[in-house]
Amino acid sequence: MGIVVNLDVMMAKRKMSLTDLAAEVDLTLANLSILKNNKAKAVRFSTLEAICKALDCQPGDILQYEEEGE
Amino acid sequence: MDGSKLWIKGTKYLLDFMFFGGILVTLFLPWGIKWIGKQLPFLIEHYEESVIIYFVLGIAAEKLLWELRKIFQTVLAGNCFVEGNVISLRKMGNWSFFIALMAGVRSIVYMTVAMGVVILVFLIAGLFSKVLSFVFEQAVAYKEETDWTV
Repeated sequence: MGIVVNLDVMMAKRKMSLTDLAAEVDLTLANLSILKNNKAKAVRFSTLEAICKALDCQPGDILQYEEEGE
Repeated sequence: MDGSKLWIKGTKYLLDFMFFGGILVTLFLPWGIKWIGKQLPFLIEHYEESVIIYFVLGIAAEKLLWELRKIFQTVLAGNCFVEGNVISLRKMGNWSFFIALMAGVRSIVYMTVAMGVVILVFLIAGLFSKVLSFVFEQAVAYKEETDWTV
């Protein structure tokens, strides 16, 4: 599995919709969906910073490492 | 229309002309060789072999041009770094080598300096196509990574 994005968990905790988050971090809904659905191959530090700021969390709250094959 | 688009469109029209002209020339080879044979008698001396070899060469050249036209369509659409173009370049390399080989076979029937040049040109074209396919393959990988970077 590798790196797993737990964006939906954090969004649920903060009661924030994808549309609101997209508007706050200045990303398109399509790109944010790519990230949320674990389709992204890389995340820019600037994107991560904006998401952490908007959700008031740490990168570790959004990203999680899982052993391959789990 | 900016300068680069004009060049690409111009080349595309040239390719289209070569492609459709090539179909006509290949189809009318039996008559064409008789006509050219008036200036080049060796073609009449080896009429059957010439028609067969040039027909095969014509088909190979058409296949090569078809792949090149496919690449140009993606260039015009502004999306040329795609897996399809890597495959097209590989096929173009194969067809170029095949044309060089067939031109070699034709040289057995009758060797001319022009045929020697054709063999050399298509060997180099084949090598360039193969190398370019490796370059495109890397470019596609980089583009995919950038496209999936959020």
